[in-house]
Amino acid sequence: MLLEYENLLALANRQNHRGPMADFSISATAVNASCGDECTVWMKIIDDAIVDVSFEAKGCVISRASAAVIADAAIGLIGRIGPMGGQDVRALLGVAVSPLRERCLTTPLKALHDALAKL
Amino acid sequence: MMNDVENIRAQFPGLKRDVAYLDNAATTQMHQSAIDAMHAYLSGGRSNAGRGLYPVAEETMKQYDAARSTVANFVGVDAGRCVFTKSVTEGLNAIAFGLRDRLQPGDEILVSVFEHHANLLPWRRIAKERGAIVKTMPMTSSLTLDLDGALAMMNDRTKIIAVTMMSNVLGTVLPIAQIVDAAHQIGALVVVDATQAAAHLPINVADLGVDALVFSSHKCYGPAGIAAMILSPDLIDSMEPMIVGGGMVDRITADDAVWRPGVEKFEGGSPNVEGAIGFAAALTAMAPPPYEGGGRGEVSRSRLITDLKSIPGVTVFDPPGAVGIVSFVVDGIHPHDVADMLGQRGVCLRAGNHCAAPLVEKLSLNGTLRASLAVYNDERDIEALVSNVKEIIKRAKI
Repeated sequence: MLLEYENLLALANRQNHRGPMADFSISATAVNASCGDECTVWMKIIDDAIVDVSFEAKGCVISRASAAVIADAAIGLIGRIGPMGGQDVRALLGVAVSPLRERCLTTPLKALHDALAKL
Repeated sequence: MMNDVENIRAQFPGLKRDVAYLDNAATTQMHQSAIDAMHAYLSGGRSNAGRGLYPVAEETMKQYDAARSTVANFVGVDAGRCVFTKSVTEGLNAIAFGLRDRLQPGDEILVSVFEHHANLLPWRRIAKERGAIVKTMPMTSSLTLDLDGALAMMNDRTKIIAVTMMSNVLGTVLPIAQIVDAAHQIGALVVVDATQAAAHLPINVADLGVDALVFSSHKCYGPAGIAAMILSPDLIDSMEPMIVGGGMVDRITADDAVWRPGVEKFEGGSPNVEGAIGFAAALTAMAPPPYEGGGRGEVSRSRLITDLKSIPGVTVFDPPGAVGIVSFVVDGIHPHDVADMLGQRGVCLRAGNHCAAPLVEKLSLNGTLRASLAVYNDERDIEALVSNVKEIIKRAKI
């Protein structure tokens, strides 16, 4: 788990897609009250395609790493992301994450879905 | 009887699993005597309680009544004041429900900043319903109750003071006797959450004079799904039950019903007989509370605090007079991440806000790591925690 933590930490500390987006189309914030995780996602949508994503995430390493890989994965997707769930995020992270951390894992995803629901 | 750690550990079959179990504030391992008592009851032929008119039902009722007496006596009252509930949360909700008609708009309910959500949200709800106000008694900088501040908040609008006896986050022990004295001078009722305290401190409800007190079985080495709600004779008589239905009705007419007197009024539905029997057996095995007088458990706690404080990057919360629980944080690593890594290495503890978010926010944290001790924890558990925290900090490159 420590090696996995180091991998997750590297993702969590990556600076890609960080910070508020000036000309965003949609945005949403999701929180995981039990952990104190909070993630805000901004997206720019052109012709029903997600052309840019940025986020701000604070909290545990899993939620922050999850936000990073979800942002990577979302860019270029056409329309709604659909039924993406915890297993998809696990696959993106490439590490084992306990089911007990499901809310940590999926808080950024919830922010993304909440934002897309505003379209 | 229990002065040897190996002897103690042998009485808890759950400890055969090779982990350092330090999450006792969430749930303790079950004492063998509780398992045995429930097994004997369940394998000896069971019935519902208070319903049947046959010998097995009579035996069930005897055992249920005996369990009630044992649980009541553990906190210094007689069985006529001890209601079984499924949890402390249910008990506190039942008390809040039962007291709601005593509140008028503008009345005040005092809680402490240390409360578990179970002793906060029921009061917020009835306050909202009745136009009353919930106010929070403050904390000192040393993480104890600011008693002077609390006393200054009490006035003729104060109707209920709902307070924990021991913080489930910090282990802080609250001065219940002083609170009760002051509250009763202004005619306020005192409701005490003794969920954590019951395993760590001697409790005598009659001596303390509290109006209501709750504690649960699974934090005192008994089964989950059962707890005790101790009420004053006045509340037993006057409080409306939250749960109505079978087993608590004296008379029922076409459009009305009269509740049974005494504790039965509050126990609508089929009771958890085996749970009550296990609860009583666990309390019998563990009484008196093992940490009384600075017993072995407190030695472990002192060592835990000393060792954790010696680790660079670790902040330990150590209120004076606290018992049983040690909260700490590791700089730069979220508590859930530390707890996850500790769990992978066989150290079981809790991380987060511990259902006491207002307190954790007051500490300006997003959570703590909480090591909570029980009678069976020993030096090996402490060493496992401390050495692994050191290793995690070293390898996580903070």
